[in-house]
Amino acid sequence: MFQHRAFHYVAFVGVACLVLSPVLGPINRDDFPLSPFAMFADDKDVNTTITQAVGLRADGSEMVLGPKLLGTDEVLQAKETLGRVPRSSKQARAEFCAQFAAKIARDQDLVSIVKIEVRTVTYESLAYFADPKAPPKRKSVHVACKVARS
Amino acid sequence: MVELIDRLVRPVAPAERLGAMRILVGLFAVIYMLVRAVAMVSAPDHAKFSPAGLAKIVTAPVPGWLMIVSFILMIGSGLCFIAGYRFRLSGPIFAALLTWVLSYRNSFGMIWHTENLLVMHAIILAATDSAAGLSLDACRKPKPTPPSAHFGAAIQLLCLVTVLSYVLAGVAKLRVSGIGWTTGDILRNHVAYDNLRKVLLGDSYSELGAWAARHAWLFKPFAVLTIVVELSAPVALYGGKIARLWVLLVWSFHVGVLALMWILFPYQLSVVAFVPFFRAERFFPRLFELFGWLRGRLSGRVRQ
Repeated sequence: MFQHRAFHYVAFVGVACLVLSPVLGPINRDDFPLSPFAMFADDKDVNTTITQAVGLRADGSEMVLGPKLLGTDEVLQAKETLGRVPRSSKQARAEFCAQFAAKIARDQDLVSIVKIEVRTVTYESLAYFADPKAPPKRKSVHVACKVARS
Repeated sequence: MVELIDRLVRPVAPAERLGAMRILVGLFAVIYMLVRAVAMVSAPDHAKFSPAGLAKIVTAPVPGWLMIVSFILMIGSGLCFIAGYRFRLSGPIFAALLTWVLSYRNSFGMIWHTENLLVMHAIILAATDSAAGLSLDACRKPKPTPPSAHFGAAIQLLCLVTVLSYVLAGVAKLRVSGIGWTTGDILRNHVAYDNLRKVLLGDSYSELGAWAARHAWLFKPFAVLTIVVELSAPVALYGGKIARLWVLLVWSFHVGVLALMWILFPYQLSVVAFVPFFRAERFFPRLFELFGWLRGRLSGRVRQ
């Protein structure tokens, strides 16, 4: 049966319909492995708003704490994890901050970090690369905690 | 006309061509999974579980040991998939486990669009007769399987899902943003947004992309070319030089995505994703000799 011409045509049309089926659903409904592949389709806002984790040093300087410190090697996963912080309860934020601070405290490469903050910042995307040192258009701190080392 | 359609859907092809694709896709999948092994078997901290694909069979994160077992079985069946050993069993098991592990991994807040095509190719190879050539199973038969439209049809399915993925990406752009995707600043904004997001989250970003984002004129030709390459993908089903030209264009597109956005599509950039558009059996002249020698040994043993 599998070697029959009709089967080949049915398989061809069937697979085509299956792969194209995401077109029938909402464009933002993604799945795996069938997907509408709409990741670069939308018009991005000229402003980029991101919730980030930042480590502060005693001298006032700061550094962004990257995805690996959140237990992932993928930036979008880190974005998702941090994006949940502003939506969570005050207690959940404090717990998240305390756990994260404990992780930072154990990291020998981050001994200069004395405090961490989870904050949402907004920059104009194109303007940022012209002047990366300019302050954000908006900034709000959701939670901050000290890094306690024994 | 019937001949032309037949050529598109079920051209005659040697079993070894499909077998070579099985080996390459299987090798890529196993190496890729091993490289990302730690990430594959561990759920990210604090991430929300939103099941995707095959992971929808569970409603909450599964115990870590289950993913480790799944991963080990997937690698084991993947080695059998590559060798074409007990393929009727090992092929579907590998495809199912690969889909499960990647679906699960894609269930924590983001879907890696770099992996969809790999999974679709693995499923097609597992569901078709891709171990009829260049495999340990084939070595047990006294004679090589002759070329057939049966193998060509399977190869065309691999090509079909590849080209349709790009068509979908092109359609999505036009559906969401209309023709403005090619005439406006949408691509430029994407490059700026994507790089800035990486900067703000403490990840590596493309300095070339950050520089290019300051020059609007650079992006319009890229945007037009992107849509043209995506929507014209079905011409590659015709095969030959047209297909190779399309592969070159789409591969260059992925190089551009890497250079400007620091987004790596390893399956596509390795060219393994596009192997179905080539006479893949020619990549492995030594394997022919090896499997010919094995056939002599194994088929003799089977007859005894």
